[in-house]
Amino acid sequence: MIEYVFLLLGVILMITGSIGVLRFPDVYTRLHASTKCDTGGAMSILIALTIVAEAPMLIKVKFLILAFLIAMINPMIAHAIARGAHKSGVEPEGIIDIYARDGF
Amino acid sequence: MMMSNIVRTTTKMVSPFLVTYSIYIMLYGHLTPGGGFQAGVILAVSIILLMTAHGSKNLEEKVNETWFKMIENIMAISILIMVSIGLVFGAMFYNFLHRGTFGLPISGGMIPLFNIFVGLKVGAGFMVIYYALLRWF
Amino acid sequence: MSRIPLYLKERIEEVNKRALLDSFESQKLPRWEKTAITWFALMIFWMVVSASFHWQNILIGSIVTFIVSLLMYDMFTGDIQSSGNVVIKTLRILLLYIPQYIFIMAFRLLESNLKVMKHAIFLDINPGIVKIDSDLHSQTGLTILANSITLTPGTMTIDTVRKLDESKLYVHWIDVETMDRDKAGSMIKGDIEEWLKNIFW
Repeated sequence: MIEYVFLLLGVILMITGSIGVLRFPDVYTRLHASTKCDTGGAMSILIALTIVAEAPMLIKVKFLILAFLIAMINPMIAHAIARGAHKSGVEPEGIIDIYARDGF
Repeated sequence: MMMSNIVRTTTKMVSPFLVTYSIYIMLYGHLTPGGGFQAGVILAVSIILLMTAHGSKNLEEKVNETWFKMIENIMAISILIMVSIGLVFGAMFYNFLHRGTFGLPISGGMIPLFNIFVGLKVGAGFMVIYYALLRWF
Repeated sequence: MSRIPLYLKERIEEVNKRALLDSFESQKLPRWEKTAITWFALMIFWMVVSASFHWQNILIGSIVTFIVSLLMYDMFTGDIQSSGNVVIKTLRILLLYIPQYIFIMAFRLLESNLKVMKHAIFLDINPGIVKIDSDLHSQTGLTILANSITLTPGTMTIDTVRKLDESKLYVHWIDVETMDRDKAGSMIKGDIEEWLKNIFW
């Protein structure tokens, strides 16, 4: 029963992530939507698969390695895209930009 | 331009696990999906990841193009030698080693050895291709 | 002695910097402890990946991971603080700190997803990039702090600046509440920095 809750949560998170990517105004806020919802959605779907899979305990743990790598690498990629966008001159919308004021 | 601190540190933290995983695929090629070629690709990728993040000039002391060329040639020669030893027992590619019981890591005669040689050769070959592309600019 | 000549001043600053660097270097682990911790982590990874308890598997795994940890001992253990016995330290990291971190981060991640959902539907955003200070001085600690900030609600790290005695983070905040550096730092970092100070210097 609980695996359906996790699956549904993952799907809903993925859909809201895509809605956020479409609705937010600029690169940085869109990255917020894509990074967080991708990480959360993928991890909850993986947890659901861990519960569903008919396998010994030691094989189920393999799903957690995927979760570990996703949680490790996804924020790094978001940071790399944001920094690259700022370096190539994409202006962020908003009230304050200390990063540009400090001369990077 | 240098990559940022975060990218460099994260690639550094992930690469030992990638190397261990490639060795697992190499040694279990006769039991699970995978094999020598795939293991070699993962091994090469884990080094290329480090080199693109840290800059190839900073790693010149630790990895060297000549070593990769040497490893590739030695592995090719050892595959040929191992294959032609089978001629003594009857035919080329003859599995002359003790086969063991099915399902254990040390079994299958010369297939694990073959996988190890192919994996190292493919990894070194990909590194040589990467160096050739790097010299293009 | 209140007046110091200019050339001496530069020299004194340089010596101070060297002393600081030496004090950081002395907090690092010795080489065999780094190798042991790497071996232990890689052995756990090998057992999970190969999924069998046969003696041949354990023998091959320990030999292979020992060779890998001899070659790559510095990759993720280079910045761990040296204090106390290595066995107790490893067990404490494995059994106490990592579950604590996973427990904190799971609820922060769920909260951040719900917050993005709210922002995407109502579009009530007020973005901006702010600067905060950090007390961590090692690369690994700063990286994990930055990755955790990216996964906590409403914030995303854009860049880190690490010098010897000070480290700063530039954070894109989707709903800027305060410009003050200390207040923003305590709001953004939460209790993750206190947790990270247990392990990294």
